[in-house]
Amino acid sequence: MSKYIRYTLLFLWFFAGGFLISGSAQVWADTTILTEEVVITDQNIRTKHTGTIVGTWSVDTLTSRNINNIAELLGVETGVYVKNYGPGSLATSAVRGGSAGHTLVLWNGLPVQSPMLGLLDLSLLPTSSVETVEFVAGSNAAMWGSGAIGGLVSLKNEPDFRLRTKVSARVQSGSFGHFLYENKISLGNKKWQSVSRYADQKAENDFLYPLAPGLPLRRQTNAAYRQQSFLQDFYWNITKKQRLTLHYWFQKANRQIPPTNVQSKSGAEQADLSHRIMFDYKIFTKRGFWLFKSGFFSEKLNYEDPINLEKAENEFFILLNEFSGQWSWQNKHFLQLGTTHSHTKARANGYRSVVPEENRLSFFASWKMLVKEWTFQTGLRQEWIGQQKAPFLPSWAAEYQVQKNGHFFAKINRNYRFPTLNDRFWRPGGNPDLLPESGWSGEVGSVYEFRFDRLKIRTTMAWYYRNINQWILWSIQEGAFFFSANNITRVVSRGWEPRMIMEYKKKSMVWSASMGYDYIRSTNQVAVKNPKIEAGSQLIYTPVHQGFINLQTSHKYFSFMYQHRFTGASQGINERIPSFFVGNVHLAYYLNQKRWTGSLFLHINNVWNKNYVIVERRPMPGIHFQGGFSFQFLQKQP
Amino acid sequence: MKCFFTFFLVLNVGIIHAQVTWNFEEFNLPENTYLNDAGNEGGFTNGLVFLPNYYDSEFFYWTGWAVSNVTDKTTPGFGNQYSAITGSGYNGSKHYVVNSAFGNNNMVLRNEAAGKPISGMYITNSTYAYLSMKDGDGFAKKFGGVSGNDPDYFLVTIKAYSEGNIKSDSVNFYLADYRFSDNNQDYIVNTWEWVDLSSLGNVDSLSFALSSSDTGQFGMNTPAYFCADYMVTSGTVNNNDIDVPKVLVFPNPARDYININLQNGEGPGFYQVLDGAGNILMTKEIRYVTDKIYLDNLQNGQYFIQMEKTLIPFVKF
Repeated sequence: MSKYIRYTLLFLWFFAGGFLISGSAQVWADTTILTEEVVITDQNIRTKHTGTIVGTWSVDTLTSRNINNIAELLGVETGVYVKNYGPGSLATSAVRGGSAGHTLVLWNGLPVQSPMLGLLDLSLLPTSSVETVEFVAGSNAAMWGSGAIGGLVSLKNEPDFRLRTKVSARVQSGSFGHFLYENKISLGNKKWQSVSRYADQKAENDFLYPLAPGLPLRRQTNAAYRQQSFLQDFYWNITKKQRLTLHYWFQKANRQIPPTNVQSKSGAEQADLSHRIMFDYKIFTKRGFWLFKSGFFSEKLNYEDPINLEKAENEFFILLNEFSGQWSWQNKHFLQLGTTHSHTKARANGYRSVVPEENRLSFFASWKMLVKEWTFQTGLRQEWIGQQKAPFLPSWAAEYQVQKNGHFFAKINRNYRFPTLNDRFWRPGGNPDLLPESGWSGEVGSVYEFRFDRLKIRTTMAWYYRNINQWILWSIQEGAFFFSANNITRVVSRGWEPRMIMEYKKKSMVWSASMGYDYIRSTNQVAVKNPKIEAGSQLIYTPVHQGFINLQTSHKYFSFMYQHRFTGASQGINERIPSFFVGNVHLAYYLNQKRWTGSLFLHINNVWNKNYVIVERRPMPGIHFQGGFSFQFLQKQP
Repeated sequence: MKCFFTFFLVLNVGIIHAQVTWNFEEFNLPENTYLNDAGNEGGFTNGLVFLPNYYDSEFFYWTGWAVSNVTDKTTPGFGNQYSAITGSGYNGSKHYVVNSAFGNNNMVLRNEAAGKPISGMYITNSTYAYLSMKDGDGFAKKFGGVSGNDPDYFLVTIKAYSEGNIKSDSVNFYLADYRFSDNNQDYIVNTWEWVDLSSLGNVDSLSFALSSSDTGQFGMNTPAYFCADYMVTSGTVNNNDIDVPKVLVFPNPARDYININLQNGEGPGFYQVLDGAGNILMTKEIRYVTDKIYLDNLQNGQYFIQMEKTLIPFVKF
């Protein structure tokens, strides 16, 4: 491909993006999605999880299923309960009965959680900004430190040095003023690769929803949002054994906060702005690698309610550094040693004049051993937060390979989560003397694959148990007048996660189905007076039963997919939230023309037009549509 | 805390042991402001009524009573927590008190009002609670719910203490009531409403507790506020209606002497010192803008200085 064409594409990418940002619908030629091959180059044992089940999705897979952010991914593709306040609104996860702060989110290996809240709004993480997404249920605190108690979401930007040019774009429009534009351009050769991604999504979300039988529908108001994201990766193979990587991620989100269904109006708005820059330098050796990684993250969150005359400004800065090395012997023993350091500074109206700063230091080690059919992995981690020593975190995992068809696994580890800045410094209620949450968790399970002629079946099963002491809860203590953060309860979570994937191929016809069920009992073990919690009661916003089934068929250029998800009843803060099921339909027509591919697609969400809420008093939209097209141009290295 | 007091007489001249009304006008706050944080005093005193106040200056948290003359009756939310939905005190007066009633809050009757019946007081909603119930907010529901049929209510329950014991009787006053089968009868109080407390009999103090149908695991969602004014207690009067004070008395309480200051420079004139029963103990001429009254001959207790239509209580201890 000539330089002329490449620069033309680059030009189009920038200017088309700018044009579409301004709100006009630029029309592109008919296109198709090319199923992308994910290139795995990372042999880091810290990211190759043993003793658990790992789900990995490429961005193209997610795009084809109309999954636009991490909240949607966890909600549709895993058994994770996503506490979603509505389209474009706050979405947090509750993995295996944990709290939102118990899911650690990594971006290329560095945590991107807000140190103030201890969580990340998953609706603000567009899937188009990364190459692959990995989800690991269960504790990984020994590997990744504070907060990795319930699960781990790992967002990865990875180079593909086989590419010379790749340009892709997707345009989507739909109900309630929904409009999405994404593009990505990859340029490079075997020496260097540059990947630029831009995403812009907005919606009015002025959907109608029923209030009560016999009453007219109510139109949602003050629910518009716009999210923009720009991500630039640069990979440089300095030599065959050295690679320098640079990532820069800019995100801007403005969203209105709609009224509840028992609120007349709302004028509240929230603006999020973040800059994340990271570089890593990796030296590959005969027996492993050396890795130095550094990142600087800055985030602002401003809230304003002109009706209530309320305003809140929050911001934080984090500098993170990691240095690690890995060695292997005979391809059977792998040892990794490393250290991390972070410095955090935060400001918030709620902290008054205090500007908390915090240093964290950790040392970690991981040893993986392969012995015939067995794989063993041990992890050790010690952290210090300022002068305070965190609990020592060991983990042990094992897998036993059963022929080539499957394996059994088991894992035991200690967990902990250090209190957030808000837990310690918010006034009133922040408690600087809080202890970290800590406890133990364990899981066992199996993965097994069957093949019957053209039929392939993969089953996975996991049972888990987790015990967290010193659980942090905002409560009113005896004699106090306001809520404060306290270590007052103990939470035990246990559950069962069966999954099955079936695929049947015949000529150009492919049928596949994936289904799963989640049984979660996550109970407070200590009675609390205020909030009113009875000993043995299920945590709020934690359904005991959940299930999903995804059916897909494709024939030549056509693809049909149906997603069905059941969410059991759960207890909200004020009322019981009824169970509900939601179905989504996706239709796509693909076109392949050598280097050019494209697709036309139509998504029908909530196809059964169910009236439901995930968070009490926060209505969700009924049936709605999204349609669009995508194209991709791909040129590999000669 | 240095306080000075005044009150309006509601009965005829010459009547002893009458009902006395406390309306907080003597706080004379700058326009559209409020007074919170009673410091070491632990509350605000208005005549024979003591209104406890707890203010945490470290955490900016408070509970109990605050004095206010905030007039904003349209701005919803916590930022307008010191406002009554009427925009003024009872009968268009400037001042009133706001109660942030987390748990039980008290009102203490002192001296000759203590242990005697209390007639009642005027109560209304705070703007914060009223607009929250009317329109809902991020935490609390709009009363009536999505259908308008939810039997919501916002209730203040007033109980009495006498000689250290809580009485079994109580008075309920609905600040909002949506329990009617006919939704047209549903209401949220937005005027000053008289709450008759005479049924409680002799009382030393009152406790106020708020409850709402909109209550979740973390407690009541409806903002726990209400406003009060024009409290009528038992007391002692023997004079005409009282004007807004022109005389400042300090220190108060006092041990040896009090200073009388004619704030607007008026004088010289005559003043009388009355005991709690309305007996005239002395009559003197005030010769300077600030004059001293020695209290050597008085026993410990509450007394009044009467100057024309102004009646000012003070305490000798």
